[in-house]
Formats: sequence, C-alpha cells, structure tokens
Amino acid sequence: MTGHILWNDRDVPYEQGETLAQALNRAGITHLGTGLAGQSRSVFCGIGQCQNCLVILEGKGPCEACRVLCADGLAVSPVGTPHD
Amino acid sequence: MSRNLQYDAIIAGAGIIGASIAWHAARKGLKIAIIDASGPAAAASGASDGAVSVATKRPGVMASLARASLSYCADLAEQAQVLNGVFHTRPSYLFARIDAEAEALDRLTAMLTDQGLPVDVMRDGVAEKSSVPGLGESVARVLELSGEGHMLGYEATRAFLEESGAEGHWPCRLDAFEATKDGVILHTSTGEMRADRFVLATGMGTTNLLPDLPLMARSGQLIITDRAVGNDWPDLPGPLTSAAYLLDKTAQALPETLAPVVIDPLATGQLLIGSSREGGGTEEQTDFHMARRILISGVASLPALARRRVIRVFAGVRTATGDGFPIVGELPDMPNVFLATGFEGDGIGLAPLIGREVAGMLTGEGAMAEVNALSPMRFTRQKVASQ
Amino acid sequence: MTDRRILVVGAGPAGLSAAATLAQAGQRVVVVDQAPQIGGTVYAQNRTGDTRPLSHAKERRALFDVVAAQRERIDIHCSTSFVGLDYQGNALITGADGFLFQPKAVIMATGARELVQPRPGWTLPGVTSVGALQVDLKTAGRPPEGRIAIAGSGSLLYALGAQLTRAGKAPAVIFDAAHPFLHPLATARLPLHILQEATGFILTLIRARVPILSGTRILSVEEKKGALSLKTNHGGRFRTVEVDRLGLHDGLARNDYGLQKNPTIPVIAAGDCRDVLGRFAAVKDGNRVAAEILNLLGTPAPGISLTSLNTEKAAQRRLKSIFAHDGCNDLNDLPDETILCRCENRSVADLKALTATDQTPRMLRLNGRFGMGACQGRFCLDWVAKLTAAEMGSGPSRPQRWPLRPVLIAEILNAADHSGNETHIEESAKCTFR
Ligand SMILES: Cc1cc2nc3c(=O)[nH]c(=O)nc-3n(C[C@H](O)[C@H](O)[C@H](O)COP(=O)(O)OP(=O)(O)OC[C@H]3O[C@@H](n4cnc5c(N)ncnc54)[C@H](O)[C@@H]3O)c2cc1C
Ligand SMILES: Cc1cc2nc3c(=O)[nH]c(=O)nc-3n(C[C@H](O)[C@H](O)[C@H](O)COP(=O)(O)OP(=O)(O)OC[C@H]3O[C@@H](n4cnc5c(N)ncnc54)[C@H](O)[C@@H]3O)c2cc1C
Ligand code: FES
Repeated sequence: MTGHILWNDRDVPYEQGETLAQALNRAGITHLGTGLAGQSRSVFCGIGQCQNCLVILEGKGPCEACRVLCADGLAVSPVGTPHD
Repeated sequence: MSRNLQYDAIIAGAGIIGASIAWHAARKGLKIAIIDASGPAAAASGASDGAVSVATKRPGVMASLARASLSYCADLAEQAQVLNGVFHTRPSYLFARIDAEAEALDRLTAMLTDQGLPVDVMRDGVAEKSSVPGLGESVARVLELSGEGHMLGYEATRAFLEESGAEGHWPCRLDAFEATKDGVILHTSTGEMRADRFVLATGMGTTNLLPDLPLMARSGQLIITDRAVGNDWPDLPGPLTSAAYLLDKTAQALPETLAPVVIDPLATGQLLIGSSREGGGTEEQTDFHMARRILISGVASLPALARRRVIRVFAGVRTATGDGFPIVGELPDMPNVFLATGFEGDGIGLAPLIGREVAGMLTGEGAMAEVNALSPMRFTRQKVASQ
Repeated sequence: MTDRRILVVGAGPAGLSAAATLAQAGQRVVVVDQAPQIGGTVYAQNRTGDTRPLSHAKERRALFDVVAAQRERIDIHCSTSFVGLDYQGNALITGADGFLFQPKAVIMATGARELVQPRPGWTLPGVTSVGALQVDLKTAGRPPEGRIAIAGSGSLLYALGAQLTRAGKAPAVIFDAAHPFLHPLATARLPLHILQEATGFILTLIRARVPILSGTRILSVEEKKGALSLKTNHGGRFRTVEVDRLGLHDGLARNDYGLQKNPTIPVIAAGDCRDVLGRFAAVKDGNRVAAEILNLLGTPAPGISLTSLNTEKAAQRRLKSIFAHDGCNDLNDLPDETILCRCENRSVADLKALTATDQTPRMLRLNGRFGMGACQGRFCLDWVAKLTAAEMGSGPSRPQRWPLRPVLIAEILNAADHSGNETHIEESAKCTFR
C-alpha cells in the first residue's frame, strides 16, 4: 500500500513502512527546517535520539521525522522558530 | 590538615541569597569567602521559576519587602549594573476560571490601586481575552499587570558571584561552627576556616546545622519544554498565572482542571510550567500524578500547550518556615553569626534586597525595619542550638 | 498485588531475551519499544515491500521464536516509549499505546548510542551517523543515492561498508582513524563467529575494490556545489575528497540516560545499555538480568552460565585495542566556531568563554547550556566532559530524571492511568489527535 503525505502543502508519495524522513528524502527533500545552530534540520542519528530531524506533525506537534511512519494525508511542516 | 584563613566574613551557601550577600558585602569593602557544599545555585536557586512579583504576595511585611526589592532590582538592572541583562520587567497575566478566582482578582485590583504599588493593572479583560492569544474556553477573566519582573535564579547567582570578587570554595561542606570571642570558626569538609563574621545562607541545608529551627521543605514540580513550536503556537507576551495561587491553602484544593498553574515563557522560547506545593520532598522526588495535575490545568487554560514537548521535569525544594516569614538576622546567643534562610517561594525576588540589608548588618550599619522584623529572635522561646 | 507485571524497555536482543526468560518462569511482562517494530538496532526489519534477504535473518528468527512461544505472557507495544519512573515507582509509557502503571521491576534494555565527534561541518545535511545510514538501509531496503564516504573508527564502518556493497551500492571510500590491520595477533584471537563475520565484511569490500584508508581522520567538512568536501589528514598528509554523503562514527556508548535508581522497585540495565558488548552478549545478558530479577523477587530462577558472556567481553576488549586510535585528541585543536551542541547552538568558543563560576557540573548545564537541549546531552556531553576534564575533573552533570526523551504534553495526559492512583482527566482537558 502506498499513499501521500503533505510537506508544506506539497504532495509527497510514500511506500508502506517508510518513515516521514525516508519518504521526504526519497522525494529529494533533505532540508527539513533550520536548527538553532543554523544547521539544516536533517536526519543525523536516524533513531530518534539527536532531535535534528524534528518536524511539526499537524494536529499533534513536534515529532522526529525518523521515527514516525507515514500514513495517508499526514500533514508535515518545518518547526517554527519563535525566538532568536 | 587545617587551613587558617582570615576573612571579614564567610558566607555558607552559594545560592542566590548567599551570592547577593557576598556581592553587597564585598562592595562595602569586606574581604569575603563564600563556600558551598556542591557549587553555585546547586539547590533551590537553580531549580525555580524567577518571578519577581509583588502582586502575588501577602499584604503586609511580605508585600512591602517585595515592593522594595522589585524597585531595587530595577536599579541593579540599569546599564553597567550587576543585574543588567539578568533582571527584566515584562507584562504578566493572572487569570480566573471560577468565581472564587474572579473574586480574588477583584480583591487584588482593589489592593493594587489602593496602595499605589509600582505594579499597574493594565487591563482587566472581563469581556475580552484578546490580550493573551489562545486561552481556553474556561478562562473567564484575565488581569494584565505591568511592572513585575523576572530573573533566573542561577543567572542572578552567577552575576552576583562573578562581580563580587569573593573567594569561592566548592565543593566545601560546612559541618559545624563555633562563635568564639576571636571570631567564628567553621569546620568544613576541606578544613577549618575563620572569619570575624559568618552568614548561614544554606537554604534547606540549615536544618542539619540548626536542627531546632522551624524549617520545612515544600517541594514543587517544575516542567520545562523544549523550544520547538508549530505555526499555531500563540506567542505568550508574559507569564500566565492562575488566580488559584491567590486563594488560601484550603481553597486551593481544587479539581485538577483548576489546579494552580503558571505557564512562564523563557527567553529561549522554552516554557517553564509550575508548580505544586508539596509537603517534604527532595529534588529526586518527581511525581507523575502531580505533574499531570499541573499539565491538565495548563492545557485547560491554554490548549496549544498540549502540542509542546516536555524535556525536563524536576522537583525544586523551597525552604519554608513555621510562621511563613523568612529568617534573617543575628542568632541569639551567637554573636557575629547571621542567618538568611526560609524564603520559601520568594527568594529570587527578595534576594537583592536581603543581600543589601544583611551586608548592612555585617558592617554594623543595621537594616530596614521590615528586615529587622524577620530576626530569628522571634523564635527565642524555642531553643536555637548549634552543634 | 500478585498480577503486577515486569516492564522491559527495548525490544532488541537484550530486551527480548530477558522477556522470554521471565515469561518462561511464569512472570507477566510488558515490553515497550519506541521503534515501529521489534528487533532493536541490529535486527531492525525491512518495512517496505523489498524482499531481499535480511542480514542476520537466522539469528533474528531464533530470537523471535523464543519470544513467540511465550506470547500469552508477553505484551509487546511498539511505537511506544518509556518516558520515566517517578519516585513512587510509577512508569509512564507514551505513544501508540500510552499508559501509566506500577511495574514490579524494570529492565532497561535501551541499547547503545553512537558517539560522533564534533568537527567543523559535522552539522551539514548529508552528514549523518553511520548508524543512521545502516538503519535506513535495513528498514527501507534501499541504499542512498550518490557517493558515500564512511569515516571514524570501529567495526561498524566495515559492517556498513559491506552491507551497502551487498545492496549494490559500494561506498566510495572508508576512512579509519585507527590501524585495525596492524594487529594480526589480537585479530587472530577473536572468537570464531566474530572473525568469520569480519572476514566476510573485508572480503566483500576488497572484491568491490572499496578503498580503505586507515590512520586517516576527517578534519573538516564543507559544502561545495551541492557536494561534501572532506579535508582528511593521514599522518600529516592532507587531502581533499568530494562525496555526497558522509557517515561518521566514533564508537558506541551505553544509552543509559535517565536510568533511575528507584526507592520502590528494582531497575536493572541489560545488554548494550549496561555494557556495550554486542549482539551475542546482549542475548545472554538479557537472560542473566532476567534471572537476577527473578532472584530479587524471590522466585525460582534458571541457572545462567556466564562463560559466553565473558568470551564476548574479552572479544570486545580485543576489538577495542584493534580499533584504538588517538582521534579524540583532536578535540583540543577544534576551531573556536565548531558547534559542540546543535540543540542549544553552543560552540567551542562558548565553552572557552565560561568562567570559574561556571566550572561546576551544575553550572556547566545551567549557564553553559550544555546538555540542556532537546537531545538531553546525548551528542555533546561526552565531548564537553573531555574538554573540561582538566579544569573540573568531571563534566557537566547528567541528572537521572524524566523524561528519558522529549515527550508531547498531549501524550503525557492521554496515557491511561493503570497505576491504581487514578487521576481523573476531564474530557475538556483530554487531547485528541489523529
Ligand atoms: C518550584 C519553585 C519555584 C519557585 N519560584 C519562585 C519565583 O517565581 N520567585 C521567587 O522569588 N522565588 C521562587 N522560588 C523560591 C526561590 O527559589 C528560593 O527562595 C531561593 O532560591 C532560595 O535561595 P537560597 O540562596 O536561600 O537557597 P538555595 O538556593 O537553596 O541555596 C542554598 C545553598 O546552600 C548550600 N548548602 C546547604 N547546606 C550546606 C552546608 N552544610 N555547607 C555548605 N553549603 C551548603 C547548598 O548547596 C545551596 O547551594 C521557587 C522555588 C521553587 C522550589
Ligand atoms: C547504530 C548502531 C549500529 C549497530 N550495528 C551493528 C551491526 O551491524 N552488527 C552488530 O552486531 N551490532 C551492531 N550494533 C550493536 C548492536 O546493536 C548491539 O550490540 C545489540 O543490538 C544490543 O542489543 P540491545 O538489546 O542491548 O539494544 P538494541 O538492539 O539497540 O535495542 C534497544 C531498543 O531500545 C529501544 N529504546 C531505546 N530507548 C527507549 C525508550 N525510552 N522507550 C522505548 N524504547 C526504547 C530502541 O528503539 C531499541 O529498539 C549497532 C549498534 C548501534 C547503536
Ligand atoms: S535523526 Fe536523530 S532524531 Fe531523527
């Protein structure tokens, strides 16, 4: 089974079993936002420890893209930067 | 091996109170050493919120001390002063969800206008809640105050210590002390120290040294979030405090959706969410049920809170006294030994003023009447013993 | 309360074998794992449609069969995190199935974490840990696009190199800070199963002509025209290499963050969380810790032979010496602008700017902000500790407190209360999300 997730309103297809990070990376989206150190938010540890791949799951909040499995219609966007 | 060091004064406890005393005393030209069992801001001062508030204080001595300290904080925060960049004023908000809380806000408004406090009531949003975005349905009323302040305990502790030039010794635990006619002798984990005068600013640690003092622990769970937010996060202009805090202790036994809660936006974009007031407790004693109670109430007041992530939870330990007032002053029967502890939930806000006044006691200049009222003499009927 | 269950955190080899041993002794066990599937790091499964054979398929099957045989007594929850233990012994579990309950004991089998040394450019996109590349390969069954360099030290460099090669995507180059091939004696004394696996990796890499440059360190990484430009140092000879992906790995450490001593119930670490000894030892250690818990609970425990555990321990010591290098000394030469902590944006210069007042474990955190970010210090504290060792003798403190990982407030509140100390959550406060 496959489906689509939404990245900033862009349709991104995924394959069953892929994490958000895997589907986004396969679509060429590796820059998932900007971290505090000015670094690109992207996969670093791959196992939910480093927090570098953080994205916002609509209706839920910040989640590690490397840890959340895709589901049809999930809307994902970059983490906001309230300060600094 | 014992070291023989001579200082004008030694301060035990490098929390915000000890650090403020050190800075003020050093400015008066005293040669100061400050010792701590673990290090600066190791206890309550490193595990608390930093509200410098007048509005939430009990009328009377505590409110007038808070008022004096708040305006003194503002002086110390001026350009090139010790708390510059550490103390800030900002708007703060008190909200009510039930009648008892709304009545408490009425009383507060009346009191603030009456006393002409340096804290202004900006807006009493009976009808409109727009001053703070994103409030929950249950929030009926919001009071906006200007002029109250904030400083983080550890930042203030650090600033006072850095600027004091006092000699810091840590880890160095005070085990016992004696007042002799040649000064005070301290027995510490790293040896013996001597000084003309001695200040105990050891927070809850004071109970080991003066077991007869009526001190008790009141811990509070503190919840810290990370910085990450979605686009729908309503940026808070200042801390949100439920008026349940103004209710007396019995009225505070509210259902969890109404439990006392403070949601305090930190400069980093993180939130500090507090806090409970539990009898006893240590920093390790985290309690899920208590933390959930605070969060349930927080989410009911500000629903977007549900979409923030918690990264740290710990219990801070306040040092409370039997009569609810801090203990500040020279010990009866122990000349040259001064005490400054028991600040419960007010020590951050009061530290600048208390530091100044205790430094005055050390030099013999004396202190203001409200601080003299905090003297340990009031417990003289109970035996105050040292080891 | 006789029906209380034992909590096992982590469904890797250690956690699963512990759960099976406990269940065989009649205990009821709850296993939680934050990953979407069981297996842990090494037995991560291919989740996409790809049907290529998995690595370690036989070992994995054997372990899963033992667990499957005890299914009635073992409750497994995936995509579910253990968030912490409070002082009353309540465990908070969040995620797909969230709940709060009072376990009889806790086994922490949360595995290892990867060490990646900071260096200029390590925060660039395309630079990941070696483990991230490996997990991706295992779970998506698909190697990444572009030229891949693998660098650092340890046997994982060769494991990943060979696995990528077998998946049809040989790495462009492997840079090893150590000289593993200069230790034939120690290598010859490795246990057969490790030697066989290692030989297999090396042969695969040699057949695919993958350049292996030992004694070579990556000094810095820069982004140049969409590619990564690596500056390497091989005994004073500097080179620049261009690739698209870089996997870095400087060893493994226990992932024991938030491992709490509890006044009310036993909490014991197992597997890599206790001591990083590899997957064979992890299975054994799971058995051993399960027996320890059974003993503590006063129930009959199976006798566990420690011989194979000791063999693995000796082997890991030997591997360590084979892969020993002085790479970490570079830390003192890091340029000031090097980021040490990306969560809080703290650099080498920020660390150097700290004063005497800040040189206590607590102040390094509070004022230095090291270890205060969202990763809770997992990627900076080791290095900050090394860099401050001279001044302080110890690094910033690592308080053992909850949550073990960042957790959504909605998830804390939605966890059903089975602790017997019910907090009533009113509908209005309960958060729903899809
Ligand atoms: C959850 C919580 C929230 C709070 N919020 C606020 C707020 O918003 N506004 C406010 O004004 N106040 C607040 N407070 C109160 C405030 O934190 C304290 O009143 C204040 O920090 C007390 O400072 P201190 O220096 O007296 O004590 P501490 O900070 O506790 O310092 C005592 C020091 O003495 C040392 N010590 C103890 N025994 C020995 C010994 N034998 N030898 C050597 N050293 C020793 C300790 O290591 C420690 O460093 C809060 C407190 C808590 C717990
Ligand atoms: C990145 C990496 C790559 C490795 N590659 C290899 C290899 O190729 N070959 C090899 O032999 N060995 C490899 N190892 C070592 C091998 O993984 C371990 O020796 C072995 O898997 C240890 O088993 P374990 O059960 O102790 O931990 P793991 O297998 O790591 O299992 C730990 C489990 O705990 C879960 N977990 C962690 N924290 C929480 C929490 N708070 N709540 C819920 N669940 C949690 C994790 O999701 C994980 O599934 C690797 C290790 C790492 C870190
Ligand atoms: S890549 Fe580290 S948390 Fe996702």
